[in-house]
Amino acid sequence: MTDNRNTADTPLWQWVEERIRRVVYRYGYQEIRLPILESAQLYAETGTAMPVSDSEVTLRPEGTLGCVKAVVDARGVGRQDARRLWYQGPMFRKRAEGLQQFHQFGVEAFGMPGPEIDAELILLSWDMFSALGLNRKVCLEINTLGTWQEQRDQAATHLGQESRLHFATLCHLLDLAGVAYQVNPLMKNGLGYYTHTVFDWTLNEPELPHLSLCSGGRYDELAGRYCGRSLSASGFALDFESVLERMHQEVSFDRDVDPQIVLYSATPDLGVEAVLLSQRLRRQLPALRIRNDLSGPDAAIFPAKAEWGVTLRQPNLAEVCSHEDGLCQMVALDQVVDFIAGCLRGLPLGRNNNAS
Amino acid sequence: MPRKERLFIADMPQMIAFKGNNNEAIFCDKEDYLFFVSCLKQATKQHQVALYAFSLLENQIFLLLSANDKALLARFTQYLGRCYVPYFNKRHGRTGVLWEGRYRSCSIEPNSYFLLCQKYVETMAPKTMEGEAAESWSSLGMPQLDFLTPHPVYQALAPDRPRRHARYLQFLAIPLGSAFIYRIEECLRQNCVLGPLNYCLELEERLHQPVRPRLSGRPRKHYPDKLNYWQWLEQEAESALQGLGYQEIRLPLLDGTVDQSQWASALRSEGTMGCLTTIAEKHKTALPVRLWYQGPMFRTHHLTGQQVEQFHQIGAEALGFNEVDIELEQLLIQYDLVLRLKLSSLVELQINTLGDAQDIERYRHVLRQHFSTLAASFSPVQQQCLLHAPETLLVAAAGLSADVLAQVPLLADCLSDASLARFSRLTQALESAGVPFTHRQDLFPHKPYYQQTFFEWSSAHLDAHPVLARGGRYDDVASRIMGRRTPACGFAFMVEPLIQLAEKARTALRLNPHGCDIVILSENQAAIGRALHLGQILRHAYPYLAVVNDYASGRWSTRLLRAQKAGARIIIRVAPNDEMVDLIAGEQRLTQRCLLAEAVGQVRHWLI
Repeated sequence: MTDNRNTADTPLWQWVEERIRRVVYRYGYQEIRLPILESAQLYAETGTAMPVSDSEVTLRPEGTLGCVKAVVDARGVGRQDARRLWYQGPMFRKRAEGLQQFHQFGVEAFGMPGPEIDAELILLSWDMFSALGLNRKVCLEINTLGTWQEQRDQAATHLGQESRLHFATLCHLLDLAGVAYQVNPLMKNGLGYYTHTVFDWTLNEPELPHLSLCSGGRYDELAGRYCGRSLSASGFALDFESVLERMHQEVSFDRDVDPQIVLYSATPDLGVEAVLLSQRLRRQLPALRIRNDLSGPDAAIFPAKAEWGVTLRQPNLAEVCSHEDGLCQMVALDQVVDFIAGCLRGLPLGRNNNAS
Repeated sequence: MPRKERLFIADMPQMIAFKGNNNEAIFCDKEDYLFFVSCLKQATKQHQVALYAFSLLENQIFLLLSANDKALLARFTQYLGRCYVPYFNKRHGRTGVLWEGRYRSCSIEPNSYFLLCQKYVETMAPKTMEGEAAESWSSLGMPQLDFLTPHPVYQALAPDRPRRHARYLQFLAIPLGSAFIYRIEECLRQNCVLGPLNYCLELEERLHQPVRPRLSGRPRKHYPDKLNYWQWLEQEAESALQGLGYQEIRLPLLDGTVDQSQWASALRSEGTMGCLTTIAEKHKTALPVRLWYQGPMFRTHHLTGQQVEQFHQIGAEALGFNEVDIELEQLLIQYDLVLRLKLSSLVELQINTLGDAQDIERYRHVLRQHFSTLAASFSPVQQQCLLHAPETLLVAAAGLSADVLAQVPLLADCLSDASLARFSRLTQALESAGVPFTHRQDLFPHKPYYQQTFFEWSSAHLDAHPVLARGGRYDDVASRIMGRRTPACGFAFMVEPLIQLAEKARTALRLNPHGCDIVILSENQAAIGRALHLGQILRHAYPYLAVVNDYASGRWSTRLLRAQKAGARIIIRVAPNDEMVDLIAGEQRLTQRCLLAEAVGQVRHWLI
């Protein structure tokens, strides 16, 4: 397992996810949740490296086919309405040392046969990299493979007129949108998968090995073979781990928001009272971030982070300290809520009438 | 439709409610109240009805009683009507019915619900201002009445009368939760049994008739978008947990490096172990720590061994906290989430204490002795359980018959005083926090993880998977995995039953899935470049709007209709070789032409 995550990385994950979700939202894409277990037969034909097992289900190696299946199952074959979807989650691949889990963020568009959807997907992925601040560090390579028939006949120069027109339109649209790209005639994303357009975003850093962050393309014939009729389909998948690895070098991240009020108990048996007090505080002052420090008396040192510290000294007595003023005051337990609310309204600590 | 036959279960107390017709007053002055109390006295004496509590409101009457048989109860209520209604009509110069419809009634499971119902009845009666003296027309306000019988549950509060009364007044001081009031009223309305879920299920099996209240409406054939609700659920859980300082942890789905053919057995089956092993491996997280996680889990069906099923959980774990306060904090989070999801009237918190490690060991010893004669008839799986953790046999799924379970020695006898005191601190805190719960002494986990507090949230409205959440303290398990002493407490919500319950209760959101705000229609292929460009500009100008490019060819009207169905507030039509675009909005399809460069400003104008 190359999984090296713990809670320290989670804020970065959450931030990247939120950014990407915002971009797909802007383009009007809808989320779809796909099962992690898929029928083994579905992937057997594509030749994707997937976990073997003697049962009928397998762990999904990628999301594209699962997405096609969901669309076909949900809507019936032949409805050619445009459908824009995204998904996210763990995928599994076979490696020499065992099964490897990795994460993908995938975007798929169905029912749009023209090259303009390919251009939209490229623009969308470009916006994703912009949102993550990676847009200056990535470069785009595109190519056309033609139809499956043409792939078997060899070489891009001999593509049919329709395929060439498709690619020329795509290049034209990308030029109009001002996206820099390179045509790489050597790109071949595996025979029998993509048709026409393929594209790949790689890190534009010569000293580093070639690292693909996001790749995709059109797969009309694959989708058509699955659903038994023609189905236009185009999509891409972003490799989460590669992106995160790159992001780690860019930013150090701490998104944990400091609480405003922290409650302590001077003795262990006052912890229950502290929790009950925090519930009352949350009900009365829902806008505040309130936390309980339940680690016992040894932790009841005044924290530098919170604005307020409330320490339960006795069953009916709490010490309220304001970090800003550095002042502390003893307040009866049933008046703590009013006291803090009063202080928040601007009454200075020590001159609050509610205090006993 | 024939009248539904009244549910009468022998030996169960009943709550009975009369209501004034058209909500009109049943009592006008003090004399009326006093006359009714005298009728009540006569009626209880004549029909051997034990009356525990009552309250007389201006337009309602609540009685808490039990009768020896159905006929006696019927004659009792008839007597009240025959006695009081003619008196009232004559005195106030009216005619006709006084009660509205049949009286409402429900049966009450005494151990968990009787006192709550007594509280409901007695706190219902407001202090009616009668002249100078404030008087409450209820059993609480009239302690001098001699025909009231105290219920055994009430008597068990304290050995003597003054202390009993003081303890009861203490109990009255905490207000009843709205969820519980809703439940009582539903049971009254539908003439059902008010009791814990397992009790109701047993009754249903015995009586061959439903005793739980039903949700209104017939089951739906089509449900709104599940995903919407799921996303909302995740958001609510996230904000509830992050707000209390719980950090999200992303757990791998596979435990360790996995041989390729064995993946099914290595799939994560629950979040707790995943959290513990992840932390144990990394040694990066300092204790104490609060964590939460969400995501898919997998269970293997034991029968076939190969069928793997995916389900989802949202869970939280707190490691390094010793005291009972962390259990309280987590229970309050759960209640908060249940309230946020608007499910509080449909779910029930059941809670039990298993005691510390020594208590459990003592109880296991008692159980092994108790089952020693029966052990020969156990299946191999059950014998394994008996050897390691005999308490897991007491779960309904373990397959022991009800007769066997009824004779099992009680756990309470094996609990130390310290464990009992710890648990009573928790239950008292829950009471004063206003969280409704049932203490079920026969609630046991199906896995021997837990010690001290163990709890389950379940719903009477789900038959297949009634448990929505479960959790508790698991110090020993955590310490074993972490390799050092680690107090730990946690819980997990099951996503699928939650969604199912929300659908049944119709608390699921009924929003139309948000499709888009602006749709850009390109007139033909030649206009697509310009349409894409406009889309880019709009997305950068309005980052919170969803802008969709429609590339379809086809009839103009069809495309327009489709865009409107998708929820577009503004539709922009782009023509080739023309600097002007059309902005279309609303049902009336108001149209305005403007320059493409001005479209961004126009959109702002239209949206506001």
